[in-house]
Amino acid sequence: MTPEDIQNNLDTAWIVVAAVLVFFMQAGFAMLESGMVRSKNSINVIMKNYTDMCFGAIVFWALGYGLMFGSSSGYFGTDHFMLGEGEGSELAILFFQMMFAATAATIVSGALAERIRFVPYLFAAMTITGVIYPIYGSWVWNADGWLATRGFVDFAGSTVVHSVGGWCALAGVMVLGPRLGKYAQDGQSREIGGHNLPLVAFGGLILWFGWFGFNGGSTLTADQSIGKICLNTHLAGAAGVVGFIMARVIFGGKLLMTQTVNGGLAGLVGITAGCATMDPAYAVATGLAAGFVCVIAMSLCEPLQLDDAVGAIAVHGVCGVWGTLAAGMFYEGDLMNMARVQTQLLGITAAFLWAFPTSWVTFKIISAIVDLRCSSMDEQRGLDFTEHHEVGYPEFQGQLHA
Amino acid sequence: MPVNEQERSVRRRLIFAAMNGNATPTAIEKAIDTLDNEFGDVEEIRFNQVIRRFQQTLDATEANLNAVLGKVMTLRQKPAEELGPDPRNGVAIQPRSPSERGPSPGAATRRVGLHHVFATMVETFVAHLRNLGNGSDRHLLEALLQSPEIEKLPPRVAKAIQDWTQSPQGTLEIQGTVEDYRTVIHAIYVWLCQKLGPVDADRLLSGVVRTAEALPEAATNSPRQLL
Repeated sequence: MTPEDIQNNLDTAWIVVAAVLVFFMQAGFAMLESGMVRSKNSINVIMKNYTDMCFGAIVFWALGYGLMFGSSSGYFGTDHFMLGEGEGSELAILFFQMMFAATAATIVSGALAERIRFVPYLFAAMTITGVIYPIYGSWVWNADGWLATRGFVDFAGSTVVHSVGGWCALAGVMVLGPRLGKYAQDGQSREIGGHNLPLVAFGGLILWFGWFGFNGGSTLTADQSIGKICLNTHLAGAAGVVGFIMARVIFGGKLLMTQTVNGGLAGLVGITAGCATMDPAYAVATGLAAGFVCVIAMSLCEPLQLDDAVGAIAVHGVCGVWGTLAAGMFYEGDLMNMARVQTQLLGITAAFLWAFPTSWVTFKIISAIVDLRCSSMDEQRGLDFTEHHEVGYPEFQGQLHA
Repeated sequence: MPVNEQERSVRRRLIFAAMNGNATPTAIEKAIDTLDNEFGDVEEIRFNQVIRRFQQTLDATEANLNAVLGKVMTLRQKPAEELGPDPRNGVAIQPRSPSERGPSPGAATRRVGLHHVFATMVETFVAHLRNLGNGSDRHLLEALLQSPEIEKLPPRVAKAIQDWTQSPQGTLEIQGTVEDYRTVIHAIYVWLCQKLGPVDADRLLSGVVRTAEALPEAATNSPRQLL
């Protein structure tokens, strides 16, 4: 076995391990999102997380991977669909990317919790993982993508995964409308607390854990850069929490645990684009600022009556924008290069102009064909019972009669 | 210092909930009168004294006061909004046994089966809103009066609801189907979500269901089928 063979084997092993870590993020999303909703909707949230990953995996294998990484003229790939042959390393990359695609869809599920019907959601999730996410991804991560050739920096997907997911969530929230009674007649927002806050915290920690695979695995090679990437990831997540708490103290407001978890996620989303190309000090700055950005973005969603059940638009959409901008501003050895920052802005704008309208049209088409939103009676009963005919906590919720 | 009406209402609801099913309708009415007349101005009430007074005024065949005392002790741990309706608001009184069912002079109108469960739920909603003291009970009744969902119900049912909303001090008498009852409960829930918010609406709905589940009728007519 040559040294090259050993390196290839190590690379493949690292990609698979990282993919498994990213896969485990689905558990984090499921716990965080289900803890943040009322108990009568907890199973529905888990079901969406569980199944969007499964449907998404098949759609991404059949269609998405080819669109993203096939031979491209700059806008989408045209081969590598239903990939079954190839070197082990390429299949490992497909496996790894499949987990990323599932993440983009899962971001959407939390935002739309407690009012979207299950089967229509699956169609939306398949469209996101099969078309919307991979086409934008091809612009950035396909070597021939039009943003890639312009030097757009998004190492692990602040924009490709998180902002795209966030903008899809925004479109879904706008099409669906708020939950029943979320906003009073005078426009005042009402807090709808989660039913299991320890689950939220545990889910947040699992996401953080998985993020080391998300960012570290994006090297696609087992080399020494992983150390810096993981260090930056952790520092930015920690700084996100610190920034979030500082923002709350400065601007006023309650120090909610659920939102503190979101502060950490904001820092992690923020560093995802620049984790490989930033000094640790700038990773701290990026995470710190992401905590502030998260607070501001969440407070902007309320007057706009954007009922995002878990804060996905702020955490993933807006903090993804900040992180991508920061990756350009704090590029190692080339700080504040305005040409690079302009390219970053171009990529950020392109993500919004692609993901938001296409997902909005997707949700609109689905809602024209079937009921996308559940009835108010279903909201009263809870989607656990109406969509899945089982309840998360039978001892407390009792058995409803159909 | 006189006890305020809200506290008096809570005491009446507590005694009513404890006696309903453990005493004849006449005995419950006598007990409520005794509570109001003799304990109405007592600031620190002791329920074992109240029950002892009931023992002096009620016939042993009219009420199982040992069971009532036990139930009072259990019920007083519950939040006020879960105690059910105030008997002074025309709430139907449940006879102790089937043999006692039938016309009884002076007793409130009797309802049976699912209808009684449904009516108790609606009245408990209204009673809770009345206790908030901000006129929201009136607003709910006005909303029901104008609700398009209620208008879609069979005319006989819709009229009964509308008649009751205009004079809610009377008993709610509707002979509808499960679907009709569900529609009414749902219309109330939607209104509560808009007025109080979804969290309070859920909490109130749960409390109302628990109150209705305490009725003997609930054993065979679960209030959950109306959700």
